[in-house]
Amino acid sequence: MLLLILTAILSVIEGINIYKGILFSSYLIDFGKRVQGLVFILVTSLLPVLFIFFSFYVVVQSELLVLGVILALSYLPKIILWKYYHYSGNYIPSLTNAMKWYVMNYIIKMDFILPMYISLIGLNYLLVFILAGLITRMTVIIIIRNFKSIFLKIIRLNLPQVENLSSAFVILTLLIALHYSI
Amino acid sequence: MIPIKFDPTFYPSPKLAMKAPREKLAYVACLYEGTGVDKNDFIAVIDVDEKSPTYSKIIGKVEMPYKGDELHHFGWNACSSSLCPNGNPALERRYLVVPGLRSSRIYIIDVKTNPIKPKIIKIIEPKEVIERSGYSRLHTVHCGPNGIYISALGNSEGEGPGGILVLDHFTFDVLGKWEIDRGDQYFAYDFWWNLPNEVMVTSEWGVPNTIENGLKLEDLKEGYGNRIHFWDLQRRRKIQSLTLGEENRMALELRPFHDPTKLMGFVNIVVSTKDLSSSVWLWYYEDKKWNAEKVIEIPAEKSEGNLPEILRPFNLIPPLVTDIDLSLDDRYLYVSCWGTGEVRKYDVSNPFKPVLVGKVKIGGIGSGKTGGPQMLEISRDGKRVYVTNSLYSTWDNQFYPEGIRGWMIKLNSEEGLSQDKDFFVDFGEARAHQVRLSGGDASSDSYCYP
Repeated sequence: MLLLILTAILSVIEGINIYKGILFSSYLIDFGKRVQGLVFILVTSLLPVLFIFFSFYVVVQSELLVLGVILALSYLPKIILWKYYHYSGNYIPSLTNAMKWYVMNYIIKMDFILPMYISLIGLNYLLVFILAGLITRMTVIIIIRNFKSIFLKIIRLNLPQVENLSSAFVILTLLIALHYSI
Repeated sequence: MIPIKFDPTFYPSPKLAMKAPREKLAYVACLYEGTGVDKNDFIAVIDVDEKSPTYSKIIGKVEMPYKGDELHHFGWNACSSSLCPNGNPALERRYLVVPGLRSSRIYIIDVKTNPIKPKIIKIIEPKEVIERSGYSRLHTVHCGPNGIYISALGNSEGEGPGGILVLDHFTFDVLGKWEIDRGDQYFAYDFWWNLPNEVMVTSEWGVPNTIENGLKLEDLKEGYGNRIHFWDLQRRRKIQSLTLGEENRMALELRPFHDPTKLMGFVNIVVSTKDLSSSVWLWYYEDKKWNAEKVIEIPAEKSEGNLPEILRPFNLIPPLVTDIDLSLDDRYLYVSCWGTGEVRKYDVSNPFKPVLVGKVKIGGIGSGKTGGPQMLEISRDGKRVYVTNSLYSTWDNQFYPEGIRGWMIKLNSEEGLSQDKDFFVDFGEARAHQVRLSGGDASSDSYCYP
């Protein structure tokens, strides 16, 4: 149960980070592309699924702890070099453009490692991760579309770094929990 | 130290930026070039906080280490464009990027550590600028999506084509020339963009060899530009050019609408060779192409004598519209007439039919006062307009041969337009050009959200 809760927390942390898809979604809606904006939320939430098949081919269950430590360590450069883990691309308000640059940055930042790892713990955990992320993103976009003052506050928070720091902390907790559950 | 918040001066939209706290400081480019005074140019820090005991005074300055830079336009290293949906919000508005128009040297000045004692933290020498970009005589600075963009009037020999170079956001290294396919574009001056629609627009003054030693009437025929160019911002390719009247010369300041869903903007024409009038043109996207039409025309005035030598053959005082600025709500366009000494305020709610709603007279040619209103800067809330009086050293001396003493005034623009009599900054023998307001102003930031 603890593992499930920790997984959900990780997903919520990622989902609140409006720099991970929500901004682009809101932007598309601003330019009159409401459906594309909502589709983009779905895409960003379901993207981890694409990477889980890869994880089953390259790792085995027994290495979960070792991989977990590597995962935790991968957050160190993210925390130190947070400014540079990004490529802006362009801002054309279209779904394909948004997807292109989102996926590009998803890979640059190696964001796929976390859902890959969670999928190795169990596919039900990955399901929780994806659903919690989707619900969080939908909630956040509804809030920021309707309350501009909240939008202004949230856009100014260093959410990428908040996500890095809190994710590193939750992952370490998850590792400890995993260690005692195995 | 890892910041929990991004820069509080960034706003996602112009509407939200209008609610920003009012500016407390203004940074002003001051120069001695052309004055005969052997001193170094400087950036002055002006107290613009009405509640402060030092209101309207110079409370700090940073002097350039070299002489003859001719400080002119400058900008921020980062601005609200960082909040575009895929922008880099890790940047902060911390450094002023200050090029020398005559020297091509670039100063990076930190105003965060101590805003009233700015400090130069990096100097990019002209040699590096020329070697890496091929350009010289640097003008407009804009904080762009993937770097800092600076326009240049020409090449190292003082000829064309002029263009745009890019600096790295973090290291300020010169990354190189921006254009890949410029087509027949030769003259350069100002530039700005509409980020969501991936459009850049550039304008035309003249090449350095034509402008640096003063205006020669014989050059008006072919030595100055009258076109604006539209570019594909991503592919760095010119897509269309528009000529703004065959008789017109010097298409200078570009003011795109701040609302990024509106593909239009204004540009000022300094002079018509037909009758010395000035005009403002609206450029807009319609029927899958760019169009432009004249929306404001300001005629030259009859002279009552006492004209500078360059104007004697005409016996007219040209308005010389040398700067325009658009409020963040895209509602009011301010126009400075450096020749006739007026600042005009137009309601551009219907951009095709601007309505004159306010006017202030401050100096002008033959007025006996020092210079006329030239550079304009509007506060983010649109309630104040700051004005300085120098255009360009050699041209200052031609149109105001009695000399220009640098000044800065403030206009109240909340209702109509009137001069704030409590605000006057005297820069003495130094001349004053561009103003930048702390936290941003109406010509510093680009926005991605309406």
